[in-house]
Amino acid sequence: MTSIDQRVTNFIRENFLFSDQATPLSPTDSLMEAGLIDSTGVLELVAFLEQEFGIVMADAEIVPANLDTIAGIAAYVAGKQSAAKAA
Amino acid sequence: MSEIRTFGPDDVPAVAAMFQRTFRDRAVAAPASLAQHIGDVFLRHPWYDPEIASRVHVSDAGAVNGFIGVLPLPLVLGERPLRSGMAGSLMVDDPAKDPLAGARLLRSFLNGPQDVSLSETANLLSQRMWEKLGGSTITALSLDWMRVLRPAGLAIDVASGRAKAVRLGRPAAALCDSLARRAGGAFFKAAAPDGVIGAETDEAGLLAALESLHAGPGLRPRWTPDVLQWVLRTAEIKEQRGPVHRRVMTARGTTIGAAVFYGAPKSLAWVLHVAARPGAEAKVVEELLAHADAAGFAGLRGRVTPAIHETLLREKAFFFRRGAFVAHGRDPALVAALADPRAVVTGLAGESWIRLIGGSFR
Repeated sequence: MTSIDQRVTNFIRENFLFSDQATPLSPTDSLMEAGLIDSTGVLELVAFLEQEFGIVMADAEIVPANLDTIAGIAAYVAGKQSAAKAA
Repeated sequence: MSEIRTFGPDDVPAVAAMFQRTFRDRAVAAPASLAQHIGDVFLRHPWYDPEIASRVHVSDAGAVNGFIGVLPLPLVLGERPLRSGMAGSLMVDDPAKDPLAGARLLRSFLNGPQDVSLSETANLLSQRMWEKLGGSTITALSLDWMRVLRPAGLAIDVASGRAKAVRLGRPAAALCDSLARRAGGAFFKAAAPDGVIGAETDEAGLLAALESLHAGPGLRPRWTPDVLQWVLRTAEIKEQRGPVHRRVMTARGTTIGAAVFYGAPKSLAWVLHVAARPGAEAKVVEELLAHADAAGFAGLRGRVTPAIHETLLREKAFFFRRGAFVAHGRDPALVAALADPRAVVTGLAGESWIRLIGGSFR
């Protein structure tokens, strides 16, 4: 796992699984289908990503492709960070 | 790709249909009058501001499947003009399928240019979303009150909303209430305050009273006579509540209070708005309760404001939670000003005056 993967996984375990380490959480599991993220959970997740990784999420970026899996979140964050460095 | 965009005239039919499915009868098509009202309050409001406007969520397939209604509400605090919006009617078609839509709609609104964002009808889910986005719940504005005057009549009135045949029990209820009021002494009765005269008034009389009563330094709408008149006319008919009543209270020739409520005798009076001159709040509430008692209403209910909370406690009202009043602003002083007894941000200033709450559309 990359650092981003790990930090996101830790956040999800702590906040949506109440630190339960036994529940399997694969990078490609759908967080929405698993019922881990709903309309309030996604706002917590967005706030975490913005604060933890220093990015700003536009409303148009709050879509399942960017937020539904840990792998998707990591790819999105890495893309935002790369874009910020290139700018 | 799905998107959030400003609500426009072409979206009205889809939003009316979604409102019908979400909050009314999904087996019946949205009436034209519902679409008309949605367009009136969210697009043709005299304060309409395209920057602080309602928004729709458009799905990947291009269909409107989410909505947040925003009523523009220019405010003033002391001499400081403020931009504000009052949000409500947050809805998403099949939220389980698209759990991000509601969050995106609310976030988009809160990221707007307004100084403070408000809602007075937030359910538990919506309240949590506001709080996750940095908003606060204003507890002092999040309670409803009810004063029971005729308990049996009130029970009949509430039950008849579900089964009309229950109304046949009204004579028996009236007898029970008569006995209860005799046995219970003052508990079910409301006494009129000394030296206060209350009277029904017309739109012009109410307008004049509200203008004088809401001229204080607290956070309040920047109403002009024409805007307030538009709001009053839009709020005039709420079929589920009963006929509208406009009441003005005077003492020694001075206007000390005003109220707008709905209902017919023997039923529950729904109080939309209470305004009182500072220091006269108790007498205004007492007059309103006494009038409802004398007119034969079964009880009254409305939204608590800090200005009348203590009087309602003394007058044997009870309190319960319906929608929460939530606020989001970058200046903590503005959020604090909402709970000040001089603030005017509910009733005619809030969302409850629109006919989506308490209206019937056929």
